[in-house]
Amino acid sequence: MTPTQQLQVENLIKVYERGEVLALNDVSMSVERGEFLILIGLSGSGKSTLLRCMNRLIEPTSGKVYFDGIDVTAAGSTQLRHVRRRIGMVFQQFNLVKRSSVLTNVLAGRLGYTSMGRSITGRFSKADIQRAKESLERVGLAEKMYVRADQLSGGQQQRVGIARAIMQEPEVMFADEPVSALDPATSNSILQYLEQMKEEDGVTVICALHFLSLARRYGTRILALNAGEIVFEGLPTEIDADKFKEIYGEDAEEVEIR
Amino acid sequence: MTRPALVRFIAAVLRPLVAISRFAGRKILGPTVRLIAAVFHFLAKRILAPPARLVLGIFRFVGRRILAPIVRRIGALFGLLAKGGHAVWNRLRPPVRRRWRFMLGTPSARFPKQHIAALLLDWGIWGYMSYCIFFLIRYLHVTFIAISRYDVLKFPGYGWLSAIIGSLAVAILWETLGTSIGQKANGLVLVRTDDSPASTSDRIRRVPLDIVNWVATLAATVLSLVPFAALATLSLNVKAGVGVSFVPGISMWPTMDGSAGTLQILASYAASIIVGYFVIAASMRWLRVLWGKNPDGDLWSERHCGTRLVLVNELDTGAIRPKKWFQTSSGLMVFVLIGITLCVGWLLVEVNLQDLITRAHLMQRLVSQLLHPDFSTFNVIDPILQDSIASAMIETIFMALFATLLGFVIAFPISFLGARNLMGKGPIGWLVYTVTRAFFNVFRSVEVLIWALIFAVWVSFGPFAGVIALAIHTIAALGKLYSEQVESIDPGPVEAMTAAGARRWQIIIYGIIPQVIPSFMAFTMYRWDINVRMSTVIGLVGGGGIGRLLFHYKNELEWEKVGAVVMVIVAVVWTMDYVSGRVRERIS
Ligand SMILES: Nc1ncnc2c1ncn2[C@@H]1O[C@H](COP(=O)(O)OP(=O)(O)OP(=O)(O)O)[C@@H](O)[C@H]1O
Ligand SMILES: [Mg+2]
Repeated sequence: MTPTQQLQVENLIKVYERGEVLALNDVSMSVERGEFLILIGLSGSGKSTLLRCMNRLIEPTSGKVYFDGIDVTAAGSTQLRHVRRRIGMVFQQFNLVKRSSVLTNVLAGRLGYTSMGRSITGRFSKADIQRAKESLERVGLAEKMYVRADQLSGGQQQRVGIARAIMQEPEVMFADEPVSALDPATSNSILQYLEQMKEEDGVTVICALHFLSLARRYGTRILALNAGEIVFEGLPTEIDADKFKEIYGEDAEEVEIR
Repeated sequence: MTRPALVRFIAAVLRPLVAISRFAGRKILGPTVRLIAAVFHFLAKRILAPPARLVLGIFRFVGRRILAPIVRRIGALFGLLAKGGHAVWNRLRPPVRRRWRFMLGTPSARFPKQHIAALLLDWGIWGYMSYCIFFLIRYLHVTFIAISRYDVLKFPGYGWLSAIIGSLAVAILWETLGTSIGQKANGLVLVRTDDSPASTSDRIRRVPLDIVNWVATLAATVLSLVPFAALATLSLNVKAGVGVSFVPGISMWPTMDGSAGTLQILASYAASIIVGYFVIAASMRWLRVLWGKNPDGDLWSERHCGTRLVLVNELDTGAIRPKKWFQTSSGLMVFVLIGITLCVGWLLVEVNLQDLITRAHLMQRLVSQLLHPDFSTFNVIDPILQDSIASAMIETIFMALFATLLGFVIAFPISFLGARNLMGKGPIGWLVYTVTRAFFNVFRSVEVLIWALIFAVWVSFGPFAGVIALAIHTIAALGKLYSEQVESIDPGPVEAMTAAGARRWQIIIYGIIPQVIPSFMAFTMYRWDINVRMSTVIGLVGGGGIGRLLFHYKNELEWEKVGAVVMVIVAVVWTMDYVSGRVRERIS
């Protein structure tokens, strides 16, 4: 593993017990520091599974994942938590606690660093609260701090999700279709926040996306999955009509979304 | 005589002898031997060889078709065991479900759970039916069936045994037709191989053809049941021998003497073999369901029937007109069950409409006394009871409040142990979950009054016994509701916090509790409501509070004071009901 490598995946296989689905079939790849890697592929091609196997939200059936030289697949529970808190994650359904305030939701991103006593009594340190305010400012939601999360719009909720991930001061961001539930304009702005994290903080971003236009605009590299296998790996510009058909099947046609 | 002359003489004598013997050998012995040889040849070829070949063939058949498969199967069994052992041995994150599969093999029928659930339900239904039928027979004094001899309705008894096993046999037959309530309830339907609905003749054809499946088990049945019946005959008496036979129909006839009795016993043996054969067939069937190898998922015998059982939601049934209830045997069965329940229930509780009318004046007097309540002890201490209605009522309200809070405080942490989604997939998590849920279910299903009885003896009569009784029931009831609430939370925040490296208890505090608090509060309010109602009657069994007064006044026949107590209770319960309803509305 060279020092510039952030993540390395070797021969990853995932079989879902239920239904005996082979979701990942011998996937190997590596991610450099500071990349904006985009995962594309049809629904059910295994993008979410790959992302979740890398931080073991899903246990891979076999194969290895290395994060910054640490063998994630062999990590014990404490080491696994320490790896996880260095990886931020945003989700398609935002995954906020709807009944809690925006601030509490953002602070939850810091739990991996918070001691037992503080988190039981709910007293986060001044520094953490300050950090939460800053990250909310960064996504432009400072004035919504004490609003309940379910009173925000989808785009605002996703920004809270990003603020929550920023709280971890992550080295890597995983984004699983962060904009699939949002309109094109809002999608663009959400991805801009991710790009900003990459540019300003040197965060490596791995993002599953459905829209090629967005993938071309933000991605530094694209990885395409089909039925659990990598079918394409290269620069965004390399995806032409033929490659597109290879990835999405013969009958597919690209639709422009701005 | 010179020597040459002698030689010549001997030669002359021998020559004809030689000629004769040559002749005899060639013309007589030879043909005879040839004939004998031919006969033997014929015997060997035509008579001995065929049976020998047959015997050989039988041996070969037995070896190839019967022994070899058994040996192979035993081998496979050991293989399976070895594999299972291997899986346990090298515990490389063995998925639990997978390990069970190793033990059981691949399910042959695709839905073993449904099949088994269906059989249990049908068995229960027919068991109930047989109870009802026996009850009616006895109630109507049907004398030609000597049912009392084996006292069918007294447990344990041969009658029960026959009812249990006989109802299993009937249930199996019913299921063979593919129209049972159990199958219907579990979504199993009988279809032809092309998935079109099975006709009545298809169903009836299953009965003999499915027996093909059962023939193999006949021997086992004979071996297992005949000694059983014989043993009973020898050790008890002839009647018991008859009784042991598993067919109620035969064991119920009066035993006859002499050769008729012998015949009867033989008949009951035969019947027991037939019925036992159904029973073992059934067990084989279910073993096969669990442990079969047929990849198509149908049972072996089903291939001969041209029909098979499938799950209804796997079919495209949108185009098939559903039958009316009276067109299906399960629908008719439900009808019969309702009818027979009404009949037996009516007879069992001795419904007496006459009393209801002729004794109405007694009720009138009671009601008029209740409606003229005597509030003299409302806030004045009754000298006998050392208590007033008001203070007893307040005691009751506090009992309820205290029990509810106690229940909340204890059930709250325990309920997380009873939530499947929090306890994970490991064996320890499973154990904790199961134990917690079992605790909830067992303690919840014992009524508060019974708990109060127990604690009244344990800690002596008084409000303390009542509170413990209420609290225990509250813990169990709330715990179950809470656990189910925790199980139905949005898993998203939990996933997000896990991904952020939070510990399990941090996830509970920040990801789960905020989601469940409103419904926990609503459940707790509701429970308080219930506890107030419960605590009024708990005094009846020594739990203290207002119930004690109620009980006392009732025993003293002071109906006016009973009326006062009842009115106070009604007022309090109604108020609590209203308040808790409003609060719950607010919360959610
Ligand atoms: N919990 C599960 N149990 C069984 N099979 C699953 C489970 N989760 C996913 N799968 C299967 O695994 C395959 C890959 O799913 P995955 O969610 O990774 O796809 P995806 O590329 O993220 O699709 P989408 O774009 O729709 O999100 C699919 O065939 C899916 O049906
Ligand atoms: Mg996905």
